[in-house]
Amino acid sequence: MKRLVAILLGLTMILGLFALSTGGAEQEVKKLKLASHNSEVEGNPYRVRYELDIQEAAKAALEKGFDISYASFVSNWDPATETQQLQNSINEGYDIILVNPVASTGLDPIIEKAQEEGITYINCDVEYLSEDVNILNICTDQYYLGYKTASYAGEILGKGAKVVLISAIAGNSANDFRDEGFLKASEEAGLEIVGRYNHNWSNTESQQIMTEIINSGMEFDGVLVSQCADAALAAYDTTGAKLPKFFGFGDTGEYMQRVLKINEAETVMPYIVVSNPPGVGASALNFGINQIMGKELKDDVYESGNEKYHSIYLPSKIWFTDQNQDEYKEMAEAMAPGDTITYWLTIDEVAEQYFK
Amino acid sequence: MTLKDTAGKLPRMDFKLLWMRFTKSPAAVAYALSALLFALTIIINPKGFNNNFIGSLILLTVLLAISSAGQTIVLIGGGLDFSGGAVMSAAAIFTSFTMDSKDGLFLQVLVMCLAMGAVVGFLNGFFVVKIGLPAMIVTMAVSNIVSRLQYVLTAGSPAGWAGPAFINSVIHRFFDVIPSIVLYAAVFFPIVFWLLQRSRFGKQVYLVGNNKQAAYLTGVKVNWVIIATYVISGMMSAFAGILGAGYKATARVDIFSEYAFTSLVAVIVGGTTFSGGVGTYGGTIAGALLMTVLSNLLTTLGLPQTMRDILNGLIIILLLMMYNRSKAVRQ
Repeated sequence: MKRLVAILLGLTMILGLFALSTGGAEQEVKKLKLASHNSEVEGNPYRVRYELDIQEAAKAALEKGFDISYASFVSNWDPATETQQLQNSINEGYDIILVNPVASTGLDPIIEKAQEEGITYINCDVEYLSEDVNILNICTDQYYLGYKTASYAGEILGKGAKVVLISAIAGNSANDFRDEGFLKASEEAGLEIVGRYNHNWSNTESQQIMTEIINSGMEFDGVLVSQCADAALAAYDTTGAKLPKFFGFGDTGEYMQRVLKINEAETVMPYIVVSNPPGVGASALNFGINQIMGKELKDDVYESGNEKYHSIYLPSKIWFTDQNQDEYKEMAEAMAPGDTITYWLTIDEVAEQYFK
Repeated sequence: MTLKDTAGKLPRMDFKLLWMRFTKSPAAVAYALSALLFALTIIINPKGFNNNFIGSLILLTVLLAISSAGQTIVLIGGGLDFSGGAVMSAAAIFTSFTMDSKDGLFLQVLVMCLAMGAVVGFLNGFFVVKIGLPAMIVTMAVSNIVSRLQYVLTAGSPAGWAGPAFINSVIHRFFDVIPSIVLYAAVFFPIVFWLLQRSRFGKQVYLVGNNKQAAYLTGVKVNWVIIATYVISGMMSAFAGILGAGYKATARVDIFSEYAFTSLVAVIVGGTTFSGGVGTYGGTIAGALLMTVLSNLLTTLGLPQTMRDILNGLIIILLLMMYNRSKAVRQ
């Protein structure tokens, strides 16, 4: 009898301890305040999706014991507003600050201040190019986007073919890396760039500039365009001009639906879709969460990036062409015209690939 | 002098007078400059003289001229409207969302968009007149609200495409040259001309723009005229947005925000002054043509983008300096 009572008591104690430990785990949910600073959101479907992805990633972090409250701040391309908003976020005690900056420099003092306050400060999307501060830059490999596009154009058009290059905004780091990729691959493939233009990441400007290029009567075989490809392609509808022999790259629902329709029955215009996922912000958040969990980055983490600026370049995972479009047709047709292909690395994927 | 004497002489052409008249007409200067730049474009790049060029020039000019009509009326009435781009974008989103690749919905879209434009215009006019806030501040604030609503109502990613027949009614080329948007212009332009030059309301707008006090003393309901100019401006911007959806086939949040600025430049270049009471819609059309030809020339020159932007800015400043030197009428 005594033994039975002892066993029962023992079991009760074990169960009690288990219950306590479980209850303890629930209490250990850590509350974090996240501030996402962006230079632009409204009017830019990419940035809209970028913010939505961050919100989804923040919600998903609950599974890992992080209850993240989210706040978004938009500077509308004004560096003074951006600095003021960052200062407010530091003062209000945010734990993680994600910044998609207005410019690639100029925030060193505010970054240092945030770090002094123990805030996890991560720069993402537009690379921050300063050697004087030690922050993590999480960006999509922009060079690859340009390189992949021009390489495929070279395959399709062959050596000596003429192309026009419509870039985004000169001076923007993402744009400049893409341009490097476009130029390098064009050189390797023997493509001649007969005209260089900018659409300034504006759909209206993209359509207008493509219209004016067509109007000029310039002879070219293909169009290399740094996103806003949907609007550039729309210029062929409005002018009624003959489609070029190559077009790329874009990654919006509108662009994909347009090129799929053009090439529905047979290949009429070879093209490429290369994704520049807005989910890069959500991936950056998950880098921050891993840092808060006390993990350390692997030693070779900057191999596919830039150690000087502590930049990690995430590879673009989805791309397709007229050759394998059937695999992506369903996805493309389900998207809203302005939406872009997106995905991001989860907390575990980031931990596995980039942390010790 | 006998009748015989006068009959024997041909009337002398007074070139000096003609030149003075010409230079005093901004619309005439804008048309002449457009012709000059057009010729320059062709001389620099003879290949550029093709059907695409002519057709696109007409299409872009008509779209800009329609989007600038409301601004012309507001400016003549002594106001300023910066909400045109936001209203255009909202109307374009509504058009592509409602049509969703289906035809036969034009009337429904037209009524809804014009109503939306009228409401936005009324808010602009009401705040300017009844609260007495500066037009620039009010219309920018209202523009921000309209932009924000586009974002909230569509979660930042508007859905849908304009109907195929409607798109065709905007971009189809007659004889491979003339874009079908001219059919809309054929209805729209005369309405604006009649409204400004022939109607009683138009005369009141000029009078209010010239001198509010004098207009009031002659029995004009000044506040209501001003509010009406904003309402008409909102409706015209909404109409331009509908056509914009046909031009672009689909829409995004703030897709036509740049038109708030470009339409204003077209209006000013066309001879309508900030001081109010001066200007014509013919001038605005000329301004729109000039802006379109200039943009095309800068692309044809093949200059680096930075240089194109600088040149574009400098030329616009130069034109604005030329046109806006007329003295304001003393109140």
